[in-house]
Amino acid sequence: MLANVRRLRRYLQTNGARRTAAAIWSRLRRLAYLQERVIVIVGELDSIVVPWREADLRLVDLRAEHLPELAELNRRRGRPEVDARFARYVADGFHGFVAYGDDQLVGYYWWVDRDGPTLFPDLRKRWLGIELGEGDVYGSDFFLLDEHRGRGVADDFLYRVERSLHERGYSRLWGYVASDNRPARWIYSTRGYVPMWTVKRSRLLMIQRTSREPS
Amino acid sequence: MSTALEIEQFIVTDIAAGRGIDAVGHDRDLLADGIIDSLGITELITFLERMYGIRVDDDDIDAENFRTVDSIAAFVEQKGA
Repeated sequence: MLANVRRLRRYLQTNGARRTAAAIWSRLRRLAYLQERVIVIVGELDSIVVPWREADLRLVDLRAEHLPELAELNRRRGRPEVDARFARYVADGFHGFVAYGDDQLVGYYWWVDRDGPTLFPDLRKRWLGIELGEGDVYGSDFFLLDEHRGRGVADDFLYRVERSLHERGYSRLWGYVASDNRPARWIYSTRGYVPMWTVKRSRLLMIQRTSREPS
Repeated sequence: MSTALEIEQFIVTDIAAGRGIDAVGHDRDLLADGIIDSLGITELITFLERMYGIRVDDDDIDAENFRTVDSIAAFVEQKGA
C-alpha cells in the first residue's frame, strides 16, 4: 500500500495531475471492464525470413544505461507511465534490444527465456498458455516510433532481433499480438510466424473469463 | 476492367506511389519486393472493402491472401461469394 502511494506520488511529480488522473481512470476502467482477443504466435528461428530491404538501424542489447533514453522515447510516444515497468524489467533481469536510427533510440523489444530469474509478467499470469521449453524464447513489447515505420523498417528490426536470438542458440520465438492490430499481424505473418491459438479474455467487475482455442 | 486489373492499378497509383513502379504484374511477389508493407496493407484493405463491398476480418490478415495481385483478386472473389 505504502509502495503504491509512493509510486503514485512519483508519477504525479513526473507527469502532472492531468496525466495522473487519466492514468488512474484508465487503470480503474480496465479493472472493471476488459474484453480482448489475442493471437499466440511462434516463429522458427532456424528459417528466418530475410527482409526485402536493409534499414539503417543499429541493434544493441538493452541495459540499465538505456533507461533514460527509453524514458525520453516513452515521453515522445505519450506513454511515460511505462518507464517504471521498464525499470522493473531491467531489475528483474529481463533482456531486451534497443534500436538506434541516426544515433537516436527509435524502438525496443523485450525478451526472456525459461532460465530467467523470474518469469515475465505475461507468462507468470499464465493466461497466454505459453510454456517455454528448451530453445524457446518469448518476445514482448515490440515498439518502433511512428515516424520510423514504413519502407520495411519494422520488418528489418524484427529480422535483426530474430537473427540475434538465433545466434544465442534459440530456435523458437513465441509472442502474442492483439487480433485487431492489423499492421503487427501483417508483419508477423510476412515474417513466417504461425498462429498457434487464440486467447479471449473478458472481465466485468469481478467476473473474469479466459478461453483458448486453436487458430 | 477485371478485379485483378483494378487492384493492380490501385497498388501502382496509391500504395507504390512515388517509387517509380508503373506495373506490378499479376503474379509478382508483392511481399518480397516490399510493395505492400504494414502501412500499405491497411490502405489496401480499406480499398478492397470500399470497392467490392466485402468485409475483411482481422483473421484474414495472412500473407498468402495478399502475396500477389492474383491472390488478392481470388481472396476478394472468395469473400464476395
